[in-house]
Amino acid sequence: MKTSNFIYVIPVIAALILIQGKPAGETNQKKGSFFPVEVKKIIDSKCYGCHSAQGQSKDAKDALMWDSLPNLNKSSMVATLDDIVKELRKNGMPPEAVVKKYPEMKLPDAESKILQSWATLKADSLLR
Amino acid sequence: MKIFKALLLAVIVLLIIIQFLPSGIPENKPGDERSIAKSNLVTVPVLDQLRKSCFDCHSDQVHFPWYAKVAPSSWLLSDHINEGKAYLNFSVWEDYSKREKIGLLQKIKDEVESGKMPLKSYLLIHRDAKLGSEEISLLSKWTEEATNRIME
Repeated sequence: MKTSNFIYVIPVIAALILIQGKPAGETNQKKGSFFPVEVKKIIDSKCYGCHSAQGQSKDAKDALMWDSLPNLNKSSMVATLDDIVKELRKNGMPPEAVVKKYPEMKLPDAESKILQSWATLKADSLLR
Repeated sequence: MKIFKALLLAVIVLLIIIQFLPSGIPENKPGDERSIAKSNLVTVPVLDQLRKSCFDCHSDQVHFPWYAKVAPSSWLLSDHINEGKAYLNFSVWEDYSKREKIGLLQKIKDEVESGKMPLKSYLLIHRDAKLGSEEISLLSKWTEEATNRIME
């Protein structure tokens, strides 16, 4: 009797472990692949201060929230990515006033290009 | 009185001189094969509304009023038109990538719904370009449908 009880317990525990692990593992992977490491590094150091929950400017937050980007529906995501490309192309971000005050916030051309080609490819992949 | 006359003369001379400066107003282009009008994205009422409310700054088919040919008002107009076309030119719609089209449609929706477009200064003179709630919802719905069609 004791052993047969134990036999039932094992699959239950195994099932519990499986349903815990699976979705969590998936979301982790999703998050990781949305922003490649080099892209995330640039965003964190040059953009995230204003375009995230910690930002002070309402305009900046209304225009773009990096954390919400992966959860937008397809068309809004494409539109936002297009906005990012356009803004970077005209050297609009980070704003001049910010760079003047904090020169280390300047986005070098090379970094801008990385963000632009990432956003372009990401949008194209959604349009295929 | 003498001073007044001299001043008036100076203003008139100046007004005549500035007529010879280039205004920078872009020329209309007759060919519109790339225009949104030729695409399957627009219905007749939508296209009519776009023509009425947007095309004067966002296309190569601008209806120039008489004061577009006269400085200094021509300078203001040329600024508006050139800036408008840099953002969005319905006459070269097919030259935009899918991504750009979807980005532009989203912007059109935002601008129209928030009442930022058409510009107040434009509406002062072009009363029939004004968008009422009906026209706003027509255009807003259109941007969504067009976006969905491009996404397919």
